[in-house]
Amino acid sequence: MTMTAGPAVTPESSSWATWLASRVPIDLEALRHFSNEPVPNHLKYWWWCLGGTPALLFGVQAVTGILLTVYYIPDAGSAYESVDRLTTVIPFGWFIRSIHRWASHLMIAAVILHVMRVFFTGAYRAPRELNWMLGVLLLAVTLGFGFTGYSLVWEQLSYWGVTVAANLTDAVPVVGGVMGRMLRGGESVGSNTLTRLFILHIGVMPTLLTLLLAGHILLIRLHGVTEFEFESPDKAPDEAARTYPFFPHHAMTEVIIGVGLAFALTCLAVIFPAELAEKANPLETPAHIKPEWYFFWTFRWLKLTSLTFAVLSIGFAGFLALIWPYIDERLRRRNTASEASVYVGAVAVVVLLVLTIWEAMASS
Amino acid sequence: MRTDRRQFLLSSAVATGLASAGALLASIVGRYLYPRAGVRRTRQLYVAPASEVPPGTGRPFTLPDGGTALIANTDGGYAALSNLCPHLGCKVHWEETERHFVCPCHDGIFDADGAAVSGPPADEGQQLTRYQVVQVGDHLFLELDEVVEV
Ligand code: HEM
Ligand code: FES
Repeated sequence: MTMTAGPAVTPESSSWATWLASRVPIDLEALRHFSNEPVPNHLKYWWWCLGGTPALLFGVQAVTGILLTVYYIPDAGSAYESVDRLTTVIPFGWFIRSIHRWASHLMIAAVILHVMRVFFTGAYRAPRELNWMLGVLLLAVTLGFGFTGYSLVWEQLSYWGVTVAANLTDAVPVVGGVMGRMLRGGESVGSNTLTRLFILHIGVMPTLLTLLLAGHILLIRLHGVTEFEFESPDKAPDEAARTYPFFPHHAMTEVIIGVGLAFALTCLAVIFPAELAEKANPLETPAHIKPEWYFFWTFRWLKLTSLTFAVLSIGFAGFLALIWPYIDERLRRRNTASEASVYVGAVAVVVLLVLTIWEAMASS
Repeated sequence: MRTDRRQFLLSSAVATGLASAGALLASIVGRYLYPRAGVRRTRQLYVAPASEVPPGTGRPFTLPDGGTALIANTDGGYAALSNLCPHLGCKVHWEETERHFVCPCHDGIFDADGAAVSGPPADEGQQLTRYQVVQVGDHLFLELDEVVEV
């Protein structure tokens, strides 16, 4: 056998690393540099690490969600029964389902806290406006995950939640009718609706969230995490003094958060496993109806205001949140030391909390 | 100059082509996803013998399809109310003690005639849909006007 022309094969270069480097020709040194972001010192405190938490939880959701899909049947006639079987018959089905459910609560809470920390520290200001917008969209998709996921169980509250949400969509001026029908997949909430919710939950939204998250992380890396004046009032010229490398220090922090989350999720799943209420019945609305806690505020708002106003005001509030960096910029153009954003944020938080607590007290 | 222009025309043609292909594709996908229009139909549903609703009374009836309608016999004849809340589509139920309908979703209340008296449906000035009641001999039928899937 004769050797054909090619790279000389020497003992060292035949190692798997060289093999891989020539098959996947990327510049490892550049990759190392790019992934090893200098992290400002304040990230040594957990309050600043809330952004990584939803990302870890999304990983948990992807794994447990794919496992749930093995037994879940997205059909109005069998969905509830399949979740029942998952919970009571399939070995550890209750566990996977409970982890998925609890991680969804934690993920939504973590995203909300992360958005609050970015808002109140002004970290959305130029040049990071775009990343704030990606963040608001990430929050919206995460809430969408919660809504569609809960609907899949097809218990009474799932069914009536979807009915109310679809009719609410109808109330959006101009495009509402088309959107509502698109969501229902027909005249009324039924099998077509469930299939659509399922596809949104396990196909469209995971893709969307992955893309948004990739963009979000890329922009964070390109801009760097905002450094604050409190940690270097005189702007130490030396980056090394102001920051520490992502690997291994910050990566270690994330690992510790991950272990903590795994422990918390396991405890919650074992102590408070996901339950299954009555099956959806299109003919009868149960006497006590409420959505998940993260939609309490909308639910209370719907009870307080007329339909069109509720829809328009919620949409408008979402729009304001999205473009907030530009509103803030205008406010600060007049007065650079303006604290207006803090007041606006505080009012928004208080209003949302009051509506949420009000609904929680009314429905308990 | 000439090549610039040629280049410009070429890029515009390519851009227009791609844009129209994209629009065509989007409209195909849109049509694929958008549910087909349902058809309107009226049908009559048997309720009860007329003797079960003497003049001046009213009571809820379970319809053959499992739904509920409240039938009342007043001076003007028979009237029937749908139990579908006009606010966001939950089902109202009749509370005999208070003699009113309650919608559990956002605390909508309707009086015995179906007019909203409090909650969001009242803010919107809504009322429960009235069905036509037809009497054939001694029997009462509801006339339902509905849109069904095809
Ligand atoms: C990324 C991929 C994901 C997949 C493949 C997935 C898949 C599924 C499936 C098949 C179900 C139905 C089974 C069941 O109800 O127990 C479900 C339920 C659910 N999902 Fe997901 N999911 C994913 C991500 C998420 C995320 C990110 C959230 C929330 C932030 C979420 C929230 C929920 C909720 C609240 C339920 C109802 C849980 C219950 O009571 O059983 N999911 N998911
Ligand atoms: S759906 Fe009946 S009050 Fe809202």
